[in-house]
Amino acid sequence: MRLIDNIMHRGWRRDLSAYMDGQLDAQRREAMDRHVAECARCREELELMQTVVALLRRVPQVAAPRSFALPSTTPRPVRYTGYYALPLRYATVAAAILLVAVVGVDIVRGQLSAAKGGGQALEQRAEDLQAPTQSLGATSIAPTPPAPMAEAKSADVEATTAGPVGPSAVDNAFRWAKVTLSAVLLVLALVVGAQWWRARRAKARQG
Amino acid sequence: MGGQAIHAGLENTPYDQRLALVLIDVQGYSYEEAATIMGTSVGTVRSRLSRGRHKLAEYMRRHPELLPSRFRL
Repeated sequence: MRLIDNIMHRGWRRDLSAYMDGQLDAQRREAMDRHVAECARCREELELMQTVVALLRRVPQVAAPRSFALPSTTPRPVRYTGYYALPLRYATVAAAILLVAVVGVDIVRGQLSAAKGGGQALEQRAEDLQAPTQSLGATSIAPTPPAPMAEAKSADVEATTAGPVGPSAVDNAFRWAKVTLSAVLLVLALVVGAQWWRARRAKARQG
Repeated sequence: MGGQAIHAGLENTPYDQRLALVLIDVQGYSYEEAATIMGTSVGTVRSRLSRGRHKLAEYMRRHPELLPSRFRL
């Protein structure tokens, strides 16, 4: 008899929470009103549940932090103090300086060669314009032999491309700077790669 | 006193039921809002809340000394 009573009560008890919140439809609510009026057990359960809800509503609200992900205090950056720390720092500084130098020199040289190229083109054009008038004025209509002219021109071109000693030294220095920069960057990449590999192995060993 | 009892009781309830209790009874969300937050249906929220309340009531019944005197039955 008690078992049947418990089974029947299970349905009423299940709906007590919704009944308290006014979430039942009209028909079920009326049935519940009648049952609670008659059943001391459900009435007691309802009162206890109302007490619990009243206590829950009095629980103080905790202000959420700005972000659940970020800690309230800013963590200090961890400084790498391994075996390669100092060489790595110097190599990074050297690479930065070399990079700035190479890029800067490259830009300046590019602008200079563009200016020089423009000047040479203008000179060449002026020579071309003057050449027929000179030949016309110096000799008669007889054409000038092409061979010496070509030789002279090629000599000029060679002199221009070979240039003085200064630009060649700059070229060499620039080439060496680029090689050194590549070497430093390669060493940096190797050291960083080695460190990453060591850290990964250490983590795997700990895990 | 009552706050401690409620906290201890909440710790004693399963996560889903505790979430429903906190959202609806502590923070005052509606059943529909709680269902959206929990990513489930209103019926499931109602069921979890009911079971959570019963569990909490049962815990209080077993520990009447934790309740403030005016709440003791």
